[in-house]
Amino acid sequence: MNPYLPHLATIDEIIPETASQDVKTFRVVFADAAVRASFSYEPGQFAELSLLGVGEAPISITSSPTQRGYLEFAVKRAGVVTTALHWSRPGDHLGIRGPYGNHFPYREMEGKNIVFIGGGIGLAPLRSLINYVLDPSNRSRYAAVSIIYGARSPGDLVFKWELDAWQRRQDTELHVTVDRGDEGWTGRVGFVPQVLMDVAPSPANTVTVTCGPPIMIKYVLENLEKLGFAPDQIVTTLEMRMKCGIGKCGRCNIGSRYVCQDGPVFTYEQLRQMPAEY
Amino acid sequence: MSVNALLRETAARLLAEGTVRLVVGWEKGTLPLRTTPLLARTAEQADRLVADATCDQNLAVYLTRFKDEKVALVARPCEARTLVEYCREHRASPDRVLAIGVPCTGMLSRRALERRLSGRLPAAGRLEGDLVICSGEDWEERLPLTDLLEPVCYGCRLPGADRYWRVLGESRPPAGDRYAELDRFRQMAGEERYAAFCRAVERCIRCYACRQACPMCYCPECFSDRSAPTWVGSSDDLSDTMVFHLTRTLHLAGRCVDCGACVRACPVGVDLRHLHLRLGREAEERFAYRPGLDAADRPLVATFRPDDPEEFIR
Amino acid sequence: MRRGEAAVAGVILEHSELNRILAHVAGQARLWVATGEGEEAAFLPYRPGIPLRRGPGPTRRTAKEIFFPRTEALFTFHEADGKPRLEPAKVDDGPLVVFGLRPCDARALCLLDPVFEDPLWPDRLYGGRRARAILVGMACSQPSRACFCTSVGGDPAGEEGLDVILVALDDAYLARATTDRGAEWLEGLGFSPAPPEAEAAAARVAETARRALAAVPADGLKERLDGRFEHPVWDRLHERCLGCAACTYLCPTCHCFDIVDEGGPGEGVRLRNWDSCMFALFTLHASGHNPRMTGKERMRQRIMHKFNYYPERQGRPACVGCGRCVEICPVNLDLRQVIAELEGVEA
Ligand SMILES: Cc1cc2nc3c(=O)[nH]c(=O)nc-3n(C[C@H](O)[C@H](O)[C@H](O)COP(=O)(O)OP(=O)(O)OC[C@H]3O[C@@H](n4cnc5c(N)ncnc54)[C@H](O)[C@@H]3O)c2cc1C
Ligand code: SF4
Ligand code: SF4
Ligand code: SF4
Ligand code: SF4
Ligand code: FES
Repeated sequence: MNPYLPHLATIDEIIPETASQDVKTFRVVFADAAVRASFSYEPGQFAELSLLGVGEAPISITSSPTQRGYLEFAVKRAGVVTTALHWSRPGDHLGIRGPYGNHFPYREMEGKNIVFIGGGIGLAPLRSLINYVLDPSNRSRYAAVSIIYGARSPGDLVFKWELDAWQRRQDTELHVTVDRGDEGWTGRVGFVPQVLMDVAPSPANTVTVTCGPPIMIKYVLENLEKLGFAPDQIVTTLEMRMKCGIGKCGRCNIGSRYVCQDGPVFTYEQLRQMPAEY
Repeated sequence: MSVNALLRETAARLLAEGTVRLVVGWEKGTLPLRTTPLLARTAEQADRLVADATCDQNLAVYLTRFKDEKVALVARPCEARTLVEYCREHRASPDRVLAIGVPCTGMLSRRALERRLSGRLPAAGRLEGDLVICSGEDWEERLPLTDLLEPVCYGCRLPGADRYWRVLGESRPPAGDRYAELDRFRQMAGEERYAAFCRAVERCIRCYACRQACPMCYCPECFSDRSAPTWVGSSDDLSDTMVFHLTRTLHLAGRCVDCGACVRACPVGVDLRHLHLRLGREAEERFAYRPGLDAADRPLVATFRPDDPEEFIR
Repeated sequence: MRRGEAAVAGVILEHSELNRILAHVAGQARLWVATGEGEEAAFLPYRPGIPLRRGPGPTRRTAKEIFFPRTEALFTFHEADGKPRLEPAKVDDGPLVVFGLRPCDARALCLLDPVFEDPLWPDRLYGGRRARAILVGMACSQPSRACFCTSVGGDPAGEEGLDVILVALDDAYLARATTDRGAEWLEGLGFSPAPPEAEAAAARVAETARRALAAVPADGLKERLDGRFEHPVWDRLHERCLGCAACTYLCPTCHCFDIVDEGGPGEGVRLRNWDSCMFALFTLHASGHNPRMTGKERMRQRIMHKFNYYPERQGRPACVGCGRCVEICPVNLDLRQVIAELEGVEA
């Protein structure tokens, strides 16, 4: 087996997310029907996206396994590969290998309330789980769902089309906030950790799932503790520099754990036992 | 007093007085006839300092790493030349770096010794006057140090003593023609030279020990590490490896102080000193420019003279 | 695959026979031999007359390069009719013989195996070469001054990973198969059985080598390092380090690599090249954030990986005590000394 060989896929649709277009969502379809049928993943896993001749980048699968026939990736323009991806057009080819890593503990979360806390592009991995939980075939197995999501400015919010859909749902509570508003903005202004304190979810029978910039995570964790959440009620997903995605290239470890295999999803309980090297 | 005793005393005093926070020198290493850099912060640590023919790293590399501390650098002519270049390139100013000049009569070449011992690795070794004495389980050799010196030591040049804050003794490097090695290389026929270059470069594993040991390779991001875009491939492709070495040579044109640290650092014996010498001689003969010697000059490649004949453009 | 009951006992291989044997083996398998001395010692493909290595200790370059080369194509790609096509690198699983590696190098391969051949994502490029490889080792009669294999679970006459082990006696080698595969191979070469004196002589050679080895306090190091991530010992250990990759590229157990594309979108290759945790850029994110910002974190990673993280996952250290990193570090930053320093580490 050559675990480095990607499956070929075609870009079906590209959705610009942010006003500056530094985040775009790519909807991709595997070229091979057999792969399309067999590729299965769980919320929280990632894949190595590649452009031949350019390179690879690990990207969370932001679509939910309940969405069939295609995969979605929300990509922020950062370096070589992600910039080249941003230049591509529908119909272009790319390579995908994966899915890699562990996943959100969505089975263990059944019967519980879930609070999603996302910042910026950090909503991408959460979205997979959100849409999984909100899918009609799964929704009844989870209690209350609330989502706190923030970005620097209204233009930096991602998945706006979907935020609207979540907003309209009766079974979901959505709090969208921005650090700084603009003329058109009538919503909430404030940092995510502060909004978390305002919303003040009860820790009883609740799990929180959070992802965002390090500084946000830091204060979110502090505030969750203030609200009485125990470390094992807090789930997060990490980013490390990766190459192989399969525990061989030696790049992504935190202590003895390889984030590409043992992660990227960890509970805060686990993180507290790991060296703070991320 | 012996040089080592003088050195220890001087270093201890500088640290005790608070003149510097750190003394960069050498101490006895863990392998026979080797030393290792010592970063001494207390008088007690400074008591381990040594300066002799087994000191073979260019200590000046550490100046670009300990940027915020006031440092005393134990300096032989190699380090002194580097300091001159550092001043010129604004890497170290005399008010942050003090040099403690130690005398040097040439470095022991580990490679020459290994050749001389035809593969036997000494289990113990010491210097005694002009003798290198080394031994294994059932053998002992007493060899004259002067037969075992580093190639860069022949014709080594000393910058003016005013560069030193304190000179503990006079350096007497072995006489010789610095360019002899280059001349030997240039006497070969073209194809032979190319073949020799290929043979050397083929061995390179791109570990970058040469670059990391070189005091003049201090770029925060080396061209060879650039990935946006990639300047030079990182595989074992021969032409990429050549590009790495040739570009490195070019970046050191008129800057290489010919300390030989890069050659000694290489774990697989790649020796491209002649490339650096070639550009060094060019700088000297065409522009009267001698890296590490003339503190007043501006860097060669940053100098423009209206009366430059610019023969190469015409 | 350990030696079965019916394995052959030791046989005698005359020095004068060696070249004939190697030529014969080279006719049946890809044959790599340890050749060269000093900093040029390495494994090269056999050719008639190639000088076999004599020197003490291990070769400068490791046997891992045969199985995990510095650069290796993962696949090539080209465009045809506007569509990309991928051509996976050919798995090279033909017969392969490595002659003259030291016991430490063979053990090191056993430490790489679980990384490349883990059941979830077996890497056939590595695994293919390993699959049919016969490792013919040469016991150390004279360790190098930097060797410390016995302190990390090895032995100058260790058999782990080897299929056949040779011990140099005065005028011949004693060859012993240590696996069924080795036995079969050795049998095919037809040697005369060794007299009992030869076995005794070989035992003496090994014993002499063992006595020549220095001890390094690596026992219990895993446990001592547990929870010592934030210990002040790391603050100074790395200071002399230049941040090159000499110690990791020439370490037989280091396996970090990078994946890069070469060529254009129309045609090219995806390669894996060695990489090193000692390089500053190794963990640098595109955002500029770097979890291992300074030499301190990088040195800690190297040491912890070998003596704490790897043991945590695989039950033993990722160091076979070959002493290469000790010999080649340009600033003589000696791993043995680092280990000794860590011995005194208290909570
Ligand atoms: C598990 C995981 C999930 C991720 N999910 C997303 C996502 O959904 N959307 C998104 O926009 N970004 C995501 N990232 C970050 C994304 O992988 C990096 O921004 C991207 O690799 C940068 O690659 P580049 O080639 O554009 O940048 P360059 O800096 O040019 O990268 C060169 C190489 O470095 C590596 N690299 C650099 N930075 C990172 C990084 N931060 N993380 C991992 N590898 C890196 C890659 O291997 C890349 O090929 C994720 C990272 C991880 C580890
Ligand atoms: S290139 Fe080599 S000889 Fe020249 S300054 Fe650098 S280390 Fe010294
Ligand atoms: S030190 Fe030697 S092997 Fe390493 S990059 Fe330099 S020349 Fe190549
Ligand atoms: S070989 Fe020495 S200087 Fe180079 S990275 Fe290793 S410890 Fe540091
Ligand atoms: S860490 Fe050093 S001694 Fe240990 S196996 Fe690697 S090179 Fe050999
Ligand atoms: S990305 Fe290679 S080991 Fe995790």
